[in-house]
Amino acid sequence: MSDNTLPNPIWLPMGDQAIMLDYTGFSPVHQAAQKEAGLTIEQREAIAAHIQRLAAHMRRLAPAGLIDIVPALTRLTFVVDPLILPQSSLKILVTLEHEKPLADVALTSRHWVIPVCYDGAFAPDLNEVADRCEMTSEEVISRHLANHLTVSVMGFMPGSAYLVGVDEALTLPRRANPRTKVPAQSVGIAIGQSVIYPLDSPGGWHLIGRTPFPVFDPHRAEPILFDAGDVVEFRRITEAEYHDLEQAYEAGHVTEADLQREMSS
Amino acid sequence: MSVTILQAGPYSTIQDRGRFGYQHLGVPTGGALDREALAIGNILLGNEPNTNGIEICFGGFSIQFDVASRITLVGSIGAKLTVETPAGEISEYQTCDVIEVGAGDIITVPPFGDSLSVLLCIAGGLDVPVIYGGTGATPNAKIGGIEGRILQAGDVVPLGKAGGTPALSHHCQREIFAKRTTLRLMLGPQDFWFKQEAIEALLETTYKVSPQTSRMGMRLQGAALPHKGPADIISDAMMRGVLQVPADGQPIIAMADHGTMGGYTKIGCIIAADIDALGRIRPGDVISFTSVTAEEAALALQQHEAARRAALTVKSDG
Repeated sequence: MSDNTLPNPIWLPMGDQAIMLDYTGFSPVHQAAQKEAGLTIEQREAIAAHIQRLAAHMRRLAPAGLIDIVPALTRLTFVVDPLILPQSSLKILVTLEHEKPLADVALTSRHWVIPVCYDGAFAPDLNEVADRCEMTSEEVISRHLANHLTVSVMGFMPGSAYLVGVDEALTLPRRANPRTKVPAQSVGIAIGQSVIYPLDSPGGWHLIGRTPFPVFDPHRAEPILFDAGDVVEFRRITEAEYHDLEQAYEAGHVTEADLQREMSS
Repeated sequence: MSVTILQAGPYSTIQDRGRFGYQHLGVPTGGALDREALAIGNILLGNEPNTNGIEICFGGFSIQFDVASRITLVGSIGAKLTVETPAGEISEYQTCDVIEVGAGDIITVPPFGDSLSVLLCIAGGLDVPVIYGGTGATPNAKIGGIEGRILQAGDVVPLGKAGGTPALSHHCQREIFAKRTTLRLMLGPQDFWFKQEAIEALLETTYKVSPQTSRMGMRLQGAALPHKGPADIISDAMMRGVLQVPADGQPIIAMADHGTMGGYTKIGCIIAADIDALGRIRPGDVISFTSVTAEEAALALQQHEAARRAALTVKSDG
């Protein structure tokens, strides 16, 4: 493996139709939870990036019987047709590919500038977040705007992205009482990450804003906006701008292309 | 060339085999709870293997054809189907019967008792948009079917193009849809997060299927499965048939519409040979689990495929 700071992965079967490669660095004889909790943010991000590279590599290789490849932050799962590609064969295949350098697998990465309104009813948890982080609401907003975030992994619903790189001063656990309904396009923060809800759904993140632009729209040619590796930057807008942009989107005057920035690299 | 839904029943959806290759974007696989039944229904009608059908949970479903077609009901031994012609003649059929229907006929699937779901397969299927490689509805993701939702009375759904009379007509023994309440699983991927008594309880006691069961998850009630430490993990991939265990120790089996990621520890996963049997287990049923190795799971799948081939026979003409 090119990056020797990563823990050695172990294989764990998930039934006979899936097998996962686990990078949390534990073995069954150790206390699994402690090992996982002991990973630093840097280690987790290095693992997540490696997993995305390996997933892209295997997706390109596309061996018969490999049905789905599901990256998570610390584990990579392969879904197989056991009659065509048994787990024992997949393990050998992945292990051989793992020996090769994966750095040349270019991940297509886009840079998004997402408009967010942090005002009024769009930000029901803003004041509480400010109190708990011991700062003003304006400071919460400016810290949320300050960093360019990275999509570390997608899931668990169409278009939902876990965005890492949030200012550490905004790190809070999830809400003790999850809401039964969070409106689609709400922008939330928790556990040092940020999310944009793709659908109306239950949710336990602290809601500090909302974007007028759907990250998931089944009527669009590309229903899902983000992919792993994309960079996301937020742009502050007023409530009036929110409503204008919402109407412009519905009328087809604003599209995904308007939210993309050329990568400077 | 369409069907009109007269009664939708409590939870009826258009379903095919599911969406594969898009879980990394958060797109759930969805698909029929009983994909084996779907496969058999499509063989009986001479459809393409991934032709969709209507998955009916609990029954109470009624539909009218505006054109002649061919249908079959699969996924249960006991479910019945009636055909009422415009002249008022009513005939009753059983699962696996292949039925020629005429324009104006009303097909009804009354409530049934043995299975959770049945599939009404139609020659050519239903013509709804393909999104991420599938036509089935996953309502929690607002995707597939008709506007991502369950069927409603009054829906008019266009029929797909039927392939004509199948070259080989098949017969299927409906006993293949017998309910099985002992399910085989492989322990893992996180079985070692649990105390030994959790593994023993899982394999040696029975669990009752909770009324809070849906196409997302089958909740079970029984002996708690205690963790060694916290119940939560850094979220990772989910799979149909996985047994997740939250902090209260009561397992939840992931069903077709599960989210692509889950943050609870997974104690085991139902094997491929038994996974479609989940679509026949109803709330209130009592189920139990046995543990198998990867080698035993591979053999079980071969035996299962052989049993399916044996249940499906080609009818001789005449």
